[in-house]
Amino acid sequence: MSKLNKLMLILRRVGWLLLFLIAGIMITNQYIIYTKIGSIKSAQDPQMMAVRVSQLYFDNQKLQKQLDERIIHKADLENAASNNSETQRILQKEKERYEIVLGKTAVEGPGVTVTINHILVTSQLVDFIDALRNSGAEAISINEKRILTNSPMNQFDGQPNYVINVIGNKDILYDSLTRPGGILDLVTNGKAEKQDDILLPKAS
Amino acid sequence: MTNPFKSGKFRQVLIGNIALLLAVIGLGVGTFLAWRYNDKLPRVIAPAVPYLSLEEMETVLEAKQTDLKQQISKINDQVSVLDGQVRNRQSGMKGLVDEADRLKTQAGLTEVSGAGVKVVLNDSDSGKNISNAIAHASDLRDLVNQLWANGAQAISIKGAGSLEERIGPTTSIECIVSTVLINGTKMVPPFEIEALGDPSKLKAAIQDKNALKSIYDRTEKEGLEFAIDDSIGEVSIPSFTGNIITEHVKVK
Repeated sequence: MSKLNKLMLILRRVGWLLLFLIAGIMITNQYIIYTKIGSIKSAQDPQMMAVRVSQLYFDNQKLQKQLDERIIHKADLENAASNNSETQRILQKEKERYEIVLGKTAVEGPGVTVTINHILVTSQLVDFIDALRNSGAEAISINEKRILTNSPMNQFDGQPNYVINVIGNKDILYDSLTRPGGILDLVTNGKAEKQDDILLPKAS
Repeated sequence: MTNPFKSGKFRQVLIGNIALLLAVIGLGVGTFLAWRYNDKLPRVIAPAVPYLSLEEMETVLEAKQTDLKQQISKINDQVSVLDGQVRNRQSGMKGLVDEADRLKTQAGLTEVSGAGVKVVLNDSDSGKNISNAIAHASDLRDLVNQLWANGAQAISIKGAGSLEERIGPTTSIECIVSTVLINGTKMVPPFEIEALGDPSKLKAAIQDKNALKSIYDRTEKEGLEFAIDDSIGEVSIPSFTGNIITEHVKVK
């Protein structure tokens, strides 16, 4: 056998070796990848997972805010232990907070006004107010009537138009309302406007 | 005599075996290399990579949420003790203390109990994996609205595992994929809804098939479970533990 032939034979064998080496890597690679994909529980539905994560993030922000507020309140109480005027201030602040929630007084603040010029049914109103609360609404009125924890939406069923005033972070509220798939889509054809100062009446 | 080493058959077997040997060595080395050095997913199989990130993020955020809730619960206990001490010492402000306490109860920040109703809502046990056979957040919202409309004074919702949340001023009831989120607490069915108020009036409200049409339709067609628990004499509603935000709103 000539030297050239021997060289060709060696090259062919090295070629085969490389070919199977690559095949081995590829086969194992595929196996590893599919094993990993199989272990991802929600691989079928990434969007739903994203929704869950974004809601968790949003809720954690709310909880952090609640914790911060509680820490301040605790410090206030510690200071108030031997201080009459401080105690009075805390009690007054606490009382005002409850009065706001219970609609005992008229309130004001920045927010968003939503105008809807068609009839809504109870379930739409229920969902709409629920979504506003989820977006951080601090006080709400529908057609100049304050909405409290126990306000049934049946009373607004079938009215020809609605002006819904919402006090809270106006940017967050506006974005939650107007983004695609946002709260306004629940009622169709609504219009939202940011406001620097809205006045809501006390509950009747 | 022919040389066996030079016969065509022998050469074929020999070459075949070497090829087989090479194949085994190649596959073996290839497998080893891929196993040893390929420990992460290649980017080409995206979107599996984002799933992993999302899954990791969900775990981190859930742990953070548990931690925040524990911290809030702990500080609430401390606040409650301090609150009691301050109120007791400042006897000159009895009027203001009493007024704040009265409003606190009205706002749902204290536990209440008394006559009421309990209703259970659960997924159909038919095993059907369709939307209409499942208890939804919207069912709970409709039910809560119906109970308020008929004079309920306080309402709470309990999910599986006895997680319970009172409906308060900032409560929203959201559907997040297969769970329901109330005051930031994830819940799954069966749901037990308890309402404080006139039992006969509240029972009639729950039995109103027009007001709760969606629930009753699905109860009949898909076997959604919805029933009043008559064994209960009194309901006990915990205090509202959600956040009352008054960051932007001010008394006029």
